[in-house]
Amino acid sequence: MKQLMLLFFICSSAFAQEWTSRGSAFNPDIGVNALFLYQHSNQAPQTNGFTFEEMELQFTADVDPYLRAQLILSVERQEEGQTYGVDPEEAYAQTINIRNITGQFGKYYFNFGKHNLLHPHNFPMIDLPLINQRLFGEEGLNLPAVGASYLFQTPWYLEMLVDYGQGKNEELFKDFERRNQFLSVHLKNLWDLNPDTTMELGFTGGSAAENISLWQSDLTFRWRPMVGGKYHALEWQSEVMGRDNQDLWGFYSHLKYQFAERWWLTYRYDYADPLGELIQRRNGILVAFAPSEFSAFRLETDYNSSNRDTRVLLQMNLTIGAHPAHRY
Amino acid sequence: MKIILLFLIPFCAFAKLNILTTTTDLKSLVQTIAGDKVDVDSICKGTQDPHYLEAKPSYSLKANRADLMISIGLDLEIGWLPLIIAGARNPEIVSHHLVAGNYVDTLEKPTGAVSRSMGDVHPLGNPHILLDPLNAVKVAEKIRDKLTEMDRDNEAFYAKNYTDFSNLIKEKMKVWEKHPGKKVVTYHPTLSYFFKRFNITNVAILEPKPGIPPSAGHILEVMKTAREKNVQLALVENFFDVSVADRVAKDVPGMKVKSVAVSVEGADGVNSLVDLYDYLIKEIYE
Repeated sequence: MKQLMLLFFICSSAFAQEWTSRGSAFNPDIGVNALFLYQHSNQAPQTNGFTFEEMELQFTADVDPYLRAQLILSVERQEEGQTYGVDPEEAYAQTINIRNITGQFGKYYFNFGKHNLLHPHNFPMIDLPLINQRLFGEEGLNLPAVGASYLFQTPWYLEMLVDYGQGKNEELFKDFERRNQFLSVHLKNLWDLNPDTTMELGFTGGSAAENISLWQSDLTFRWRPMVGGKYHALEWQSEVMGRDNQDLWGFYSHLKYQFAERWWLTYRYDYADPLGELIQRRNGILVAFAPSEFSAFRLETDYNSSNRDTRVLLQMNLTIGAHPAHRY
Repeated sequence: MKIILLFLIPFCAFAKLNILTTTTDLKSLVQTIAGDKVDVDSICKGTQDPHYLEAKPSYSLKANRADLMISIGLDLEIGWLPLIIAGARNPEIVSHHLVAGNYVDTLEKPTGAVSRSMGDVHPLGNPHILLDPLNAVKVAEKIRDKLTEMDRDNEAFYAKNYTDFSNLIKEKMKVWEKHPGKKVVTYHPTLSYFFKRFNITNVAILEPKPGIPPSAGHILEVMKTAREKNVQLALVENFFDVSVADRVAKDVPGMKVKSVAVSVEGADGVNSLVDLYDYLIKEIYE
């Protein structure tokens, strides 16, 4: 009887071990990113001081042989007071086994230019560019949608990305209580000018209900030498976008220089021209120190000439767990 | 119509396999086994640190056109290869992906729990596996098998090249192993496999933890250890800055600092893995 019990125990513990390891092998990769901010503004003193800006919980896994899924939950400070809310920032699935095509569905950031795709911890400066803020609001163009991208067989990298969705966006749609439709088509070109340097050129056209049409173009040069590339790199990115018959347009241009293994400096000029309102111009400079890939401290100062606001911002950014690589 | 078919047949019959590797060391192994029967390219260049690479879309375009992807695995390319593969939209390289690290026993596999407080540790062990010539033979065998599976017509060619390579390594080992052993300092534990195979002792590492740049306190410790153990050579992998090693060498009598290639195509004349092993032996002992 004892032997039988022992055999049962051995078998069941072996099974349990097998089950546990198999179970964890299929668990999604989990990552958490948190952003803390200190801010001092001479025009908006009510925002001064420390804030816990945002936390993102990210889950990524293959669903089956056909789909890969990503879910990003955002715990974000509400506009008023110190309360926090949880939102599905992105939740989408992408196809993984179709030649030259990626299909996508869920809720996600539209391929409307370069900056709109970024999560806050990956913004080149601490804040959104003025024109992105004015066109789409703080949350960007992020709607429940379906989309597809196609990689062309050209000598250079040429990709067409189409997204069609419905949702609410208080900056974009005048009737923002209603679920509105939005369609965008982005063309992304990238050339390797030499082994160290790439040039990317993109164009986007967008069309929405209420006869809204939008346009965008971006140009990015990136240089990271094959020899010594751990210590020096340069990025110059500019993006211009607008709405309808120029009732709102603007651009930003930033220059980012990595001057040591863990340090970089970024300068950005921002411009937004809303018809009938004061033109906004902002100059900002940021110095960043990243002790590792998983933490960064960024100090920024900027001056907005339209409201004569000078701000100083210090952002602390940390990531624990798995964190998928950022897009190029 | 027949004329068109006749025109097309030669292109189909002689279409070469298109192979994309993550490192130049793997590319060299493919060239050794397959010669000019395949087209092969590497994503990471010999002067770049394979841990940290930007996933340029142009790499995805190369991966889109590949019939076979060969990577090291062991989390070496975890920061960039998944993005390149996702961007490639090529189901071929999902099913034809050879991961070399699956076929060798790794060194420095952490025991117990790992955390990022330990730096850029690799839970599956040190990924610089091809710096051991015997590991290169094991991986070459797997490449031969994979190429044979995908291109039966050239089976004998691949088999012969593998046997020649294996014999060459056996012969070369007799020469390489004659060297007496040495004590060295390095920047990162890149050369662990080479050192273990050839009785070279890595007395101290300039990085306090993998992937973490040296601190002042740690540099002082390395100086002390190097002085006490009379280390005469500091090897700095050529994608790292040599200035820290130079600072250490100033304080250690007789210490030389060398910036060395640790990958194929990392220096002039290093065009294959055998060249790389010859080059490293020469840099260490001459």
